Amino acid sequence: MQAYLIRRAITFVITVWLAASLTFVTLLVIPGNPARIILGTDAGPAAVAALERQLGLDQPASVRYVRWLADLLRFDLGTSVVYGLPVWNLIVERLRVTLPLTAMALTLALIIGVPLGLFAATRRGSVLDLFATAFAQIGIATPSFWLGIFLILVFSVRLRWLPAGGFTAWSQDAGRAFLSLLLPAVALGATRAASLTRIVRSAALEVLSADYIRTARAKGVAEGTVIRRHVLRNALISVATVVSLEVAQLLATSIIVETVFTLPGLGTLVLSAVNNRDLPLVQGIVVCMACVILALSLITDVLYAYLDPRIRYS
Amino acid sequence: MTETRGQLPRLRIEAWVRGHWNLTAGLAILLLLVATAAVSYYYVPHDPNRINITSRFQPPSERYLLGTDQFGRDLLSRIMVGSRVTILVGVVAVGIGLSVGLLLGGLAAEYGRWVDEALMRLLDAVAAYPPLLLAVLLASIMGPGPVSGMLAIGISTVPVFARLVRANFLSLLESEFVQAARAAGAGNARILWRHLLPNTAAILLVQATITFANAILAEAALSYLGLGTQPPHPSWGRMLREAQDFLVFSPYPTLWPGLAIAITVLGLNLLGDGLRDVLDPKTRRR
Repeated sequence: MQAYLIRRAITFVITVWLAASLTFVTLLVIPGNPARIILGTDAGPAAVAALERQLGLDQPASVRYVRWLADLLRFDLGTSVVYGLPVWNLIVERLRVTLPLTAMALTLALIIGVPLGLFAATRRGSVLDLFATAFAQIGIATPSFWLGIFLILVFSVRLRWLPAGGFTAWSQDAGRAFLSLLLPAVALGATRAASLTRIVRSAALEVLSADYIRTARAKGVAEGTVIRRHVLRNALISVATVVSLEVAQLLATSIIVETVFTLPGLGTLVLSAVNNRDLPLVQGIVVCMACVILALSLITDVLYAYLDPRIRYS
Repeated sequence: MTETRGQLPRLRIEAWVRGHWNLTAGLAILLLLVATAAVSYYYVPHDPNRINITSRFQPPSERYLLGTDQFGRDLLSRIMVGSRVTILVGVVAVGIGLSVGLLLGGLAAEYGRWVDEALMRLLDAVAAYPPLLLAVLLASIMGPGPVSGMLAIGISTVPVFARLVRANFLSLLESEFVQAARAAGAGNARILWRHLLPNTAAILLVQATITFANAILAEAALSYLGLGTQPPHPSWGRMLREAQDFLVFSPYPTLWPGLAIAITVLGLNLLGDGLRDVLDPKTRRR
């Protein structure tokens, strides 16, 4: 286990370094002067030069790269040109919306997806299985922002039960804050629930055809115990491997869903940064998200190795 | 599966269709998409960009088969023209993914050790960027538009193809018939063309359909956010964004584009599943 962990940790560091460098390199490779891009075409040369100095663009690329890496290690993601605040602070502030939203969506996806997939697998060919498969296929194909729009139509416009968008701060009114995250979480989580249903179902089906299940049943073990002790555990191993991918998808999709419901989260921040040509902010958020996704992948691999002893010795 | 040899051709086709629902449905939807796009170059019921304020928010009628949007533009025509972008994005994404992925995966499999390790780490780094994130990055520098969108989606599909090619080539290179070919003096090129590629084609085809579906979803999302196709060009995602503000007036401008996206993606996923069932000997149900 030790050797595997060490190897995996080294891989993680290398990949994070590469991923972060990718952002830096895109900025270098794309034609055009970043300072000019930020200020627009009618900016005077003096203003452009001043911004260049501020962003450190007058230095050679290698120097900039080293400084940028050093800053990243200290969690210094630069300063936003539009807000004038450190990018890191802006990110942390927006996480107050994005994190709860993602957590709620993930919980929803797990609560619906795992049991549904399991039931479908254990009752293969039944009506429930058909329904679950249909739900999975349709759910994967449905764009989450379309679902979000329809949820708004039904629950906000027609029924007026829930807000159509916007967000009240947690400190102001926690109940209302939660409600404003409810529809977005459903829109976000439903697609992942569909995806999880599919994955859990196929993983469980594979487990169910294994010899040890047949042995357990032949021994006379109660079906419920068979499912709990053998099917669930082993199927969950396969699920654990894809959880990081699912969460990564969740993070990416949260950008769109936040836009649908006009939530002041990380997604809307990065989009407005793009529109404002706030390059340091865009860079900072993008690198941050990529690193989070890589960290999730690391956690999943470690979890997988812990759950499945066969992996550690490969 | 019932024995169909010796029966009338029509019965054989029926039996095949019944046994391959996924494939049939998927193919039908794909054909529908291609046909819609093709027809749109020759005929659309109305000018998709013509604004006609007096006919705003019309429900489906004889004149406007799917209704009109907030500017009085015919929804059916816009959907038809929007299908062109859908196909284009899918083709570009799969094209980039396949070509670059094949190259990188092949290199990794062939040259092993350091090259393999380096390439895999690089691909992991690229894979850490979901297409949306890549599109955001590229858009901030190149400006939002169809080019940055398609490039982002294309690049994000490369790691999947590359890993698939690499894994497949590696296992094929160990196989007996490849080793026999090497022993008989076959060079790299010959092994690649005659052995590696044909045996990988099936898996790549299945992955291509799935990637196509994901690319369509990604493009719709990008257009919705304003990072893909720019107005006034119709794109299904873009139509959803424009229609959202007017939900109170009519649900139709939101209904049809979303339905179009969902059906197309569903069809492609079914096609991929169907192809996998047919081409993968392990999952064949007899």
